[in-house]
Amino acid sequence: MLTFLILILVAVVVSLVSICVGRYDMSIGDVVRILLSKVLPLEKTWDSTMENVVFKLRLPRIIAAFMVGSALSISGATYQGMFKNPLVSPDLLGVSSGACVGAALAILAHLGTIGIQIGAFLGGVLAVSITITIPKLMKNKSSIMLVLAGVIVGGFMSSIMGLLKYVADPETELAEITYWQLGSLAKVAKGSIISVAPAIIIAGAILIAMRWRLNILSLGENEARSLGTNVSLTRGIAIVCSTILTACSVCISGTIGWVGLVVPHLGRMLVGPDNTKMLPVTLLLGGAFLVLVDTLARTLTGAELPLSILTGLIGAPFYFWLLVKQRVNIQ
Amino acid sequence: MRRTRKLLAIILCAVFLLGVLSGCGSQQQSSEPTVTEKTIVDMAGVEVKVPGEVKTVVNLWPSSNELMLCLGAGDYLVGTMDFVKQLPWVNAVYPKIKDVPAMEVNAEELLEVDPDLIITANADDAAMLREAGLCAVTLMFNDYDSMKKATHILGDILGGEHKEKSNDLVDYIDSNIAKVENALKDLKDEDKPMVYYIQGQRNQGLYSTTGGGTIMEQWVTYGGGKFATADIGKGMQLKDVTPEQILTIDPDIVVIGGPAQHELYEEIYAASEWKDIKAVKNEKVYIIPNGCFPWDRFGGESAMQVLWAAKTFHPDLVDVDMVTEVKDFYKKFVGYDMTDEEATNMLNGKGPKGE
Repeated sequence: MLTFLILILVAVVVSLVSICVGRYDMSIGDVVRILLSKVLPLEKTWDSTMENVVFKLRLPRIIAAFMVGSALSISGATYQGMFKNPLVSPDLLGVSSGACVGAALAILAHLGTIGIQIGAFLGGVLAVSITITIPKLMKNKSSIMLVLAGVIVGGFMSSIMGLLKYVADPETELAEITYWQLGSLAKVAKGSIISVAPAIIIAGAILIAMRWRLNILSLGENEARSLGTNVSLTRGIAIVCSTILTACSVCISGTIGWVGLVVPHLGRMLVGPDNTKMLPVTLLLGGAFLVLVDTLARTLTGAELPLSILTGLIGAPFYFWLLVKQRVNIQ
Repeated sequence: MRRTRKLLAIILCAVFLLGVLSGCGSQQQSSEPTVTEKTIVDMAGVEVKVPGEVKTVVNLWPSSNELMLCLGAGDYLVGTMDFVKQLPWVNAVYPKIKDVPAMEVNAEELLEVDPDLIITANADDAAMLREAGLCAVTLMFNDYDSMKKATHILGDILGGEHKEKSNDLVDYIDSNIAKVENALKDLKDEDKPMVYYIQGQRNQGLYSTTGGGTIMEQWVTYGGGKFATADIGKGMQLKDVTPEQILTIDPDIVVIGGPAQHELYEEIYAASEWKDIKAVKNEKVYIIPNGCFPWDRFGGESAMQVLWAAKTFHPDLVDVDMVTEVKDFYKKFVGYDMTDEEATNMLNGKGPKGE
């Protein structure tokens, strides 16, 4: 409980710091006054540009970063628990590679930002649907079959991706596809946040609500069944919710690596493997982490840095550190 | 315990909602009243209100940077692109470019600069910047017609002498086209050479080209040639065509554009499969002039590309002195006095000092 409260505090502090920094120079006092002016009747001592920066540029990005970060983290945590495998990330069942294909097709067809978002979402959901159908066709319900199906679909989608990149115009379309694949919140707008927020909040709430069932799933299929749990139904709901979370995130930010893999580990390190505690903690951690990374992305240089570059640079060494630390603990 | 947890969840939701709502609230904030403003329709078809007097411009597309120089409006630039700053001819005709900082599409950074106008090539970028409270227009063009339209829009925005220059530039394009069409009016179809264009923005080999419907097809056609790749594909996206396709066409003339043109020129004469192709055998491989922007691509200087093409394809039918033409263009539009030597260098695709 204490950890949880501290993490809420951390998330709030990170968001407040994030809203105060940026390439547009203004004092912390101004930012605080602008924020407070929405609830308190304050005299306007700032110009409207500052207000624009705070409410139209920084706030939407912080909200989006928090949403995407927590969505990716809890879907990663769900997958890792479900498949009892710490190497699993949300794209195990092909959601990211499918979303990439959908987005790339939309970019090639010049469908604009909204088209790219819809394409990414449909692509991700379609890829996972194929993955889920394969074990059904084989009449084999084991999770290893599901993982294999995910590998097949992921590999197939990567090849399609290669083909799409090959036919793309290198100066415009290819650049856009590559940038999209590296993930960015630079083009996030209020409209797109509002359109994905309900789905993310509902899917996330379902996962949080069924987190003790995930505990049972992680015991193993036979054990879970003997405890009277409907394994395929529970697993099905978990997969659908995780897919929606990842697909929604990907469609506003592009693919962002490492978050769904590393953050659940950090959560587990803080409160242990019990999903009832771990999922809410992971949600806060993931949100705060991506807000931090996105703040770096928009402040380090004049150009926007793609997020996957930063999450990779931070995430990979961090993952290594986690592994080292865990081994020490075991001994 | 349970209760506190529920309470926390509610508080968390409330904080979220508050954030979203306050974000919405700021939309109603009206922008500051400007003394005069005019409404223009940009190249993306969007109506944009621009200040009556535009004195500071951040220009985030190479072609529109060159177009501003051609309208004598370089002094308004308060932000440009690295790519533009590195072009030798831009530095020669407008030395002040080195003091103009390079910028990117970054709303906060641009708000810090707070220019009167931002020019982009991408409608999404412009919309995003306008959302952030900046004045941004899309001036994307990619053939003579859209270039004339964009030139008029830029003239309307800048006003005054620049408006006159924009009219003059459009007239100049039209008169050049009319001039070569008149000179070539008796040209029979079978006398039109087959022209193959190699695009050398960077060296992507001898088979990197563009397709039909591009500005390249336009100036080849105006210049009295047949565009070799017109039937192979459409648009700038034309992927590498296969060597067999080109060698089967057996082009009479090859024209090479872009910064990698000299490299490609060497390559084509060295390539064994080109040895017996008409263009190489008759030494009719030409380097396209390269100024503040490659003439073969969309920029103000492509007005002269029509003349160059006609003169290159049909030297006996077209009577133009390109050196004089270049010098007059730069004096009239860019406001730069060019020497004969410099003009010759530009026509040969070289830098101001012949490099």
